[in-house]
Amino acid sequence: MKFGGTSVRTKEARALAALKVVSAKEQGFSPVVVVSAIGRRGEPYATDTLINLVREVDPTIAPDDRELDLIMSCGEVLSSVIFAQTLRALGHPSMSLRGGQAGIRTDGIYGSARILGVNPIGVIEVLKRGSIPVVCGFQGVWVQGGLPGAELTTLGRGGSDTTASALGAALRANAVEIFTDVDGVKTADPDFVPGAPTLRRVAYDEVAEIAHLGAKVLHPRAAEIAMRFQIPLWVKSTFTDDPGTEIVSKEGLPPRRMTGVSHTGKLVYIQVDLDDVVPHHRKAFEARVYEALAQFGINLFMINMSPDSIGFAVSREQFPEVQDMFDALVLPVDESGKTIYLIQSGEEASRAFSTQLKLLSALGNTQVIKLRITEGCTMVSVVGQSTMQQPGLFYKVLSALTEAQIAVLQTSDSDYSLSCLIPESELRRAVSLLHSLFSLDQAS
Amino acid sequence: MDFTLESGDRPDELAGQPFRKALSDPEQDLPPQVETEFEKARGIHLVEQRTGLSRVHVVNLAEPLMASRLNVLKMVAEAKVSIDFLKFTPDGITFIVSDTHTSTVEACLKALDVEHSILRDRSVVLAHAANLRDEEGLIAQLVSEAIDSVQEIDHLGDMHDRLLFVVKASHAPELTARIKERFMEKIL
Repeated sequence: MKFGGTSVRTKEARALAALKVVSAKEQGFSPVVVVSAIGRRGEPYATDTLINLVREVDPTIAPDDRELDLIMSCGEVLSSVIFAQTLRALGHPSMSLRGGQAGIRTDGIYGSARILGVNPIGVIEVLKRGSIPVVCGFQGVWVQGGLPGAELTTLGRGGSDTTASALGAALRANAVEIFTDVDGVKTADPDFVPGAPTLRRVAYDEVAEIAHLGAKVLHPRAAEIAMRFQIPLWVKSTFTDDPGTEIVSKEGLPPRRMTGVSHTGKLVYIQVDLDDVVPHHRKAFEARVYEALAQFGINLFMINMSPDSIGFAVSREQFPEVQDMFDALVLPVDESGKTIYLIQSGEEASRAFSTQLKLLSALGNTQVIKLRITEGCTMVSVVGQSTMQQPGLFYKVLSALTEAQIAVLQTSDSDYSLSCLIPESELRRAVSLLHSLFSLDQAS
Repeated sequence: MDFTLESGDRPDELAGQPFRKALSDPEQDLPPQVETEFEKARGIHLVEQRTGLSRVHVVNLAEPLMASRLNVLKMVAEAKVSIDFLKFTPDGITFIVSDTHTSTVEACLKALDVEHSILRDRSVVLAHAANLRDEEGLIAQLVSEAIDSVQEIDHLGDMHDRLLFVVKASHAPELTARIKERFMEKIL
């Protein structure tokens, strides 16, 4: 049973959460609890607040990832101790455990460690003593860290969901229940579609897809682990007795129509027209553009390539770095040295670009390639289990958006989804429109 | 507390061993084993090929461009042909169809009288990685490597867990081998 930040935020919320645990115990189960840090962004013990304590020491010096992991993990430690005490106050012995004590072993990538193995003998030992284990979510240990004792690592976004799913799988649990502040997986963000219904049963792949494409109710890693180990997964509300959403294998479900509409990301779309690149230089030009992006560790979305252009989206967070990288970048793709390609990354030429252009002009023909940049984009997606191969789906989605005068800049698709890059200002309308288009208000 | 279970505080060989070896009571009804590789490893974990595809590229569509794109998609939809990996280009669209539907699509495009090219006998090479879009620079690195390794990439697309390259069928084995060689050994 995993309780998220809002479920452990106040004394009252913790009491409600603890009662869910007690109820499970009284029904004959052996509950194992996983908790997130208390509260959300900006609140005293939330993860972001703890990170800021370190960053504020000197904003010009980036904290070490290892140190950040140590301080971030404190939120879950506080939360687990307080939750265990809440259970004790209700008359049920309980013991808090750090991620490492619960047997969660990870790789050594601080800040986004992946779970390599789980050996939950600590959890089992606590259960054997008749206590309820309360495990810190979001953390594990890297055993080969080099220092005495194991190195603490954190699992990255959605880490507590991942902890719960992994522990559930290792313990061969009857079910993993993710408690949050909504009553299950909905067909769309209720902030955008207030009447969006809660899905009662969905497949692991559907929920993983919808989560990858932006739905925040459950982290996709948790769904993927549960799917791999075939552990029934539930998403429920801490604050109601609603049955929630059961996530199971798709074999147990009737063939499904559309599952939902999700949205994600503040993105910037970048296009490079190749008209001004000499045809026999294009291949090398493209390769060097991507090589530069790789060297800067830039993450790409909605990548595309045609004979006359290349394009990709980047997160708004990474965009300044991308723009800096491209500004006045010289691409040495002509082995004869006769043509030099120089990139202009903004509407106006920067001082660096102007200087570079002047210096290069003495060497030969300098061809300026200007990037076309569209800021303020986001991605809206329709997700379905078996409908993506239906003829006409692209036409249906794109014609509806176009009719509503919502510009679509690019698309991408997978076995379970179709995504469109649109202006962020149109997101609310787009989500609502696609929700209606597929009659998702009737979904269950 | 008389026990400590921090992984680093006990012999490493315990990690990854069956529970029964670690517990005092072997008769307990407990999970039979601990899984290693609990989550998919970082980086590319699988490269596969799918054959029997054609790439369709429609160019120089009339303005308004989106309306012209939709005309093409409508015609193809009415012909009951499923398309994949649709991408917008500056003056048209590209997409992939199964070889079995290529002639139907070609007939649609001729009926619409739009400029187009069709590359038959294409394969898609799919590089799978968990949370691909979150792996710093991995997509760009793969694309750069792929461009350098085969004569021509005809089409590209990305999903959260896969990057796909459409290439001439005869080039697909070479690209598959190159990606495996360069990326699959990098798994941490």
